[in-house]
Amino acid sequence: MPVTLTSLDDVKFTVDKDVAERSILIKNMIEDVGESDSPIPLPNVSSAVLKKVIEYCEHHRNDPVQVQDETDDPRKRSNDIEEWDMKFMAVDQEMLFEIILAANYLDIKPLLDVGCKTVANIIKGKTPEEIRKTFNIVNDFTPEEEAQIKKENEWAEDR
Amino acid sequence: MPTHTLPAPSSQRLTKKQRIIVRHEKPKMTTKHVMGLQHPLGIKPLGNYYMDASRPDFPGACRGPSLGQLSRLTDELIMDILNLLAPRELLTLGATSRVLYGLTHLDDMWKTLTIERFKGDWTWQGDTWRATFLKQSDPSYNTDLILENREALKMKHFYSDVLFQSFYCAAIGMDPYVSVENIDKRSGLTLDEFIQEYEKPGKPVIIQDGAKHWPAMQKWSTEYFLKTWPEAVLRAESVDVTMTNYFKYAEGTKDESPLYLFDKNFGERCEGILEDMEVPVYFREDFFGMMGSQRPDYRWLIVGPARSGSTFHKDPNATSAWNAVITGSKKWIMFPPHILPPGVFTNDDESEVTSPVSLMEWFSNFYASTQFPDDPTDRPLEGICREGEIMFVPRGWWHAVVNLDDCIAVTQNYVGSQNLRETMEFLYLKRDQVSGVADERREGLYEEFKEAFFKSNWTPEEGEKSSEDETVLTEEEILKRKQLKEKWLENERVIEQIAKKRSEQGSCCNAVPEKLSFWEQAKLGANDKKGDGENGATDAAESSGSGGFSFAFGFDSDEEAEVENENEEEQ
Repeated sequence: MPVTLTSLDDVKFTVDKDVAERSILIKNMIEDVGESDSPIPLPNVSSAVLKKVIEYCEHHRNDPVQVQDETDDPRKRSNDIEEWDMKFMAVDQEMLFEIILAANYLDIKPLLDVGCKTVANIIKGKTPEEIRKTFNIVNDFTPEEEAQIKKENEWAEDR
Repeated sequence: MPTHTLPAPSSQRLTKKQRIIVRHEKPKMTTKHVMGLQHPLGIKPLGNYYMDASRPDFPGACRGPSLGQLSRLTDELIMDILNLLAPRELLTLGATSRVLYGLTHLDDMWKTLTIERFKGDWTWQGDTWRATFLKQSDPSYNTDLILENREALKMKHFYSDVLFQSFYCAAIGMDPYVSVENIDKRSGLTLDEFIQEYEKPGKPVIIQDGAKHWPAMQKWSTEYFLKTWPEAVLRAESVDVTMTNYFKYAEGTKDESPLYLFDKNFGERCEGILEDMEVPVYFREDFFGMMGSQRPDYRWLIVGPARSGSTFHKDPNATSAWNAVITGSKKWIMFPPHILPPGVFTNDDESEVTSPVSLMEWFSNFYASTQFPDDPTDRPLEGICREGEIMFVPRGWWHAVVNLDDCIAVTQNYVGSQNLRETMEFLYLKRDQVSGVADERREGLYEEFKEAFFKSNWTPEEGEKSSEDETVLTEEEILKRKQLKEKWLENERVIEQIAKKRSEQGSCCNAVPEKLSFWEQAKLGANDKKGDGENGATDAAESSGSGGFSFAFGFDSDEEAEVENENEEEQ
């Protein structure tokens, strides 16, 4: 049974129910409203982003529902993005953040996780100046403050 | 636009259990309302933005430029990303801008890092986990710099409710929530009075003279513990720490939810400590004692600073409990078994309970709504347990406990005549929820318990003796043992019939119907006229105070009533 989703800019997307229900928000809406032909409005998501999100959900439609294992070390897991997801996430920064925001709003945890890991990977290995350039961050320290922080960061990772 | 919402409940459907109306609005926080609430990193609540923005010299919020493109994400999402970074990366990120300096200093993140890398093997530094972590992995690291810089680099125009919240809850403390005390306080209770007035009906009570005479009352203190057992290794939530290190942490921490020391092996690890206390007379009939050293976990030493505590839960294996405060004081808030506290979510058979907010957040967000429910009998029981006093927690009651100051206490769980049947039912019908024993024993704990029950010569006066003891019993005791065994077999017949009916009906719901307690009877009596019938309200909707029960009175599943009639249950 297909489901119709309407984006912020009024574009309609028809998808299979099981694909749409990768979004817990949509899943709950469908459960509450019951069987209905009326499209589900998603006023927070533009069509360009919704298209990407649907692409992700279709590719992952058969994935088992993620069970949160609290003993998992989140740090170890940012190196484990699968290849398809890596290619999927190779977008410009603006789209990357839009996807993250959409995944958050639509409650699609695996997509949100991949998005956050992608940003974390962008940060890794860069110097402060490189990070600033990447994200257009203003350096709002005085030179003295910068020196103080440099001292504070003189930390040897291993004994 | 703030996109801050309460954490979503687990994706499982909210059960149709009775719920207190959640008709709350998060109070608007501003530092004007609570004088002197200065966040150490300079974070202010959103309310202050509107105040500050109206001033002519306001330079604008710093969030945009200081975060660059990252400012498009919500604070929660930014924190999610920071939580994926390694320590070195957090330090580097903190050197990019003032806001990122502040955000990478939020201490909860560093608490996680410390425990992940060092488990319990760290030495508390100053007032933060960050200092503790960095020093532990690099002894030459100068932690003074952190404090100096933090003061100098305080953010000036950064506003965030999400990030201010936990500081706010901790800073407010418990003062606004301690005035209600409606739990009975009694002294000089005889055993029989206790059983008739409290244990049988399942009603909480504070026994004011419960531990008054314990040697612990004269001896125990932080200093005494540090002097007597400084190297004792004790369990604090997920880590094992030495006594010395724990107290250092407890003294210096500013955590919103401080690490709580809760140890079940203190009897062995602190030599002689058990002589300073004794099981009060009301609680000596404890049938799990028949299992000797094989009994499920049952006794804990509890130590913690102000704000440490336990969020809402029911005690394991349908046992009842007592909790004695030696130093300090605890705030208790309790709901009867059939009323789910607001902010707590559970599935149908209560095998999974989630309480997404911390204890302090719970009080800040939900406490007010418990004070004026539509149905006055839905109000929780509350009270403060002080030095020398003992709280009795009847089986099945939801309870949350907060230490109001540095607190040392002892607690035990037990199974007596008044809750034997319920514990038997629990062990028999809810085997996957059994706790307090190694995983492989959960499935068969009922049978183990039964075996011990029938073999043992244990009597209440004996206390903790193993079933192998060759004690000679008096005639009276022999008769009592015989009656107990008969009771067991009677209970077992009832339980087996329930189990049989369940599997015949193909019921997947394991909810064990509660017998009417005094509380439920009071509600029934008070609500005779209301009878609104079942309504499908799930969350914040206006559910009527009564009539929404799906299981509690055993009317839906009459198994128990039928079976009892068949067996001519006497109770």
